[in-house]
Amino acid sequence: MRGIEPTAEASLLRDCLCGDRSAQYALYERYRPDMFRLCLRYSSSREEAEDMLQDGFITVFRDLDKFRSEGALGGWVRQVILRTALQHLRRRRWIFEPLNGIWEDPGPGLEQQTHNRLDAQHLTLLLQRMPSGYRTIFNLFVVEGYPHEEIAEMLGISASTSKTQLFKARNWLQARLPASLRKTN
Amino acid sequence: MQDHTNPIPNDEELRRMLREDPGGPAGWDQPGERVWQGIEADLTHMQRRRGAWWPWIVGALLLGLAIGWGLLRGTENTPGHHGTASFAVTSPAKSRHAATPTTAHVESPSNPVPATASTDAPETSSIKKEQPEVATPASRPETKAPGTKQPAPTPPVTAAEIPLRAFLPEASPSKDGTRRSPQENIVALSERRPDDRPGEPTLVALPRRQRRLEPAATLLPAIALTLPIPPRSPRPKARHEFGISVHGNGVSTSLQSRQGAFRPAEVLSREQSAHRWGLHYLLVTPRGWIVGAGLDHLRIREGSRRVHEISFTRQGGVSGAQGLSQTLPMTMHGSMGQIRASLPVLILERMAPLDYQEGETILLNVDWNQRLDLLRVPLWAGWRWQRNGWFLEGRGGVAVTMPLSYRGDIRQVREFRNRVRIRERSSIENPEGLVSVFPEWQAGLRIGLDLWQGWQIQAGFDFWRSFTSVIDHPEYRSILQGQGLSFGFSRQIGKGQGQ
Repeated sequence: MRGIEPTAEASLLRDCLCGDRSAQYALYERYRPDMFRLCLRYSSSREEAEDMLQDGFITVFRDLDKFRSEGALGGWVRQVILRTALQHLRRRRWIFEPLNGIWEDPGPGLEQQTHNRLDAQHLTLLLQRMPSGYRTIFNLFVVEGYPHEEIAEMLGISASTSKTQLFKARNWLQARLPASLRKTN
Repeated sequence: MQDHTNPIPNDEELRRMLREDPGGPAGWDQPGERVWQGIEADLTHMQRRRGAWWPWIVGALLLGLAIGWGLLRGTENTPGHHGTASFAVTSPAKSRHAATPTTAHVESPSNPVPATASTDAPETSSIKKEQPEVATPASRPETKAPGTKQPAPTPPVTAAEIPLRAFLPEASPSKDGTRRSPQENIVALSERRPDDRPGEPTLVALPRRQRRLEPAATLLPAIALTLPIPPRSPRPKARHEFGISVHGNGVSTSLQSRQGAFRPAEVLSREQSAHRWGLHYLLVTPRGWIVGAGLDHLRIREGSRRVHEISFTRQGGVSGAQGLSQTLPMTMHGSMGQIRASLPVLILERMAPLDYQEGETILLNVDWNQRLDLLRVPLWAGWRWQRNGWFLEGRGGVAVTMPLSYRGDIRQVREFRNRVRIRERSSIENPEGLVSVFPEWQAGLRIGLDLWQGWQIQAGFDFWRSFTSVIDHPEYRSILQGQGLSFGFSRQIGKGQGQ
């Protein structure tokens, strides 16, 4: 994540706390791409990611006075957005009820779109199609680097469940990656 | 050589790719403009409502305290229950013993009491129409007891030096035409204040030996001077009531545009209900005035069914080789705030590859069940008529209401050419635009009955309505109102009398 000069960051922070709308927009602009990519990874669609991002930044501006300058502002913003995204996932439990056998998992489909290349966008799109439980734990463990114990505490599950879900997430990803992109170790 | 047992990049590569490599075409990681617009709208709303919470609470509490204090003060200063005959006792300030010669004056404009002196004590009394500022023995008529020696002239006594006023409580004519207290042999004493107003009265029972002096009421003050003042007065006091009540309310909401009536065309049906329970405190003055406050929990439910006609395009959707997935952003305005829902929609081209044409209409039925919990702080004032254990009470007041929580359950059923039917459910707990606090006014009638040991049962009818809109939206406003029956119990604390 790109940082800001400490003095500029302090000035931006002070203006944001004073309710300066242009400063708030500058802060939003500064962290928008990184935070949106984070939200995209945790959501199942672009629109849901936008909802997460919006709620997350609202929380950031609401709690900005609680930020202590010991750490980096970017790290704190990331924590807030991540926490909001997780709350968002807990809140919106979409339940699909198939009728007459119509609903089926569309299965692998992204493979043809990747055109034998894998970049952040396509990997993100792939993650969005991953079942929500797999996706959350995969993100928290692999991308964010949280240990299973901490993930378990954050999500209110057991550490063994977290490990199991991660294992399944890896298998799910393995089955859907284009063969030509599979990594040779 | 490919290793299919571990086909995906290792964690470090994935982490680097996802966190640091922007990848992809330009703009794929840029959110739409609506995100900042939503943030900005919320920031504006937040700034507007910041600081608006506590002034309402503090203002309401201060108003309640002021009303209560005013009623209490009015009750304390009303001498209505304390006699029409008033006696001003002049005596040397320190002489409160029978052995000390005492002079008693009767001040009774409305109730001339015969100055009958028949006592074995060497005392002198007289009747005066007005309370003199300075009373001297020479300036007032006196009735001398026969055979008694004229006491030595006492120095002039000013009103400020007179320590006590004495009067008969609730004097009424007796058979012989004189006036005496309905509570015979009782005299009321009160301390004289610098402004010559009577202080808090104290009823004093005369000793048995002196009860034979009736109806020599003029001597009562003098006799009373010899009596110790009991620490408490049994005068009627305000009464406190604590209670719990349950209200079943019909509730209605009106969602209107700022410019005029607004009727969402897609709403097919709507059901609303509310119930409330709460704790309350009432102060009932001896004259029947009431003032009270409480704490209520109010739950409002609303269920509505809407029908939307939607269509999809591939634009904005995530298309795969065998399916089209698209999220439909939907905003629904309701009387309890507006919610934005991103409804995920998956068009199964694999199952019906030829059926769906882009832009074709799909019927979307949405059942929207909302539940809103509110905390109310009501303040009442009113009047209570009480007779034979029954009371009838009218009350009105204001309330400060704060939304506590919201839950909206959305169930949608999509139908497409009678072949594709998909149900989805979702829950939303944060509606947008719901104000953090709003004022209400309320009115009600109540009937009650004393049961036993201070317990009362009561029932009544209440009506309430919000002063202002409960949603903060530039185009719409929503007024909440409810009416219904209430039922409750209360317990009286204190021995005060109502009317």
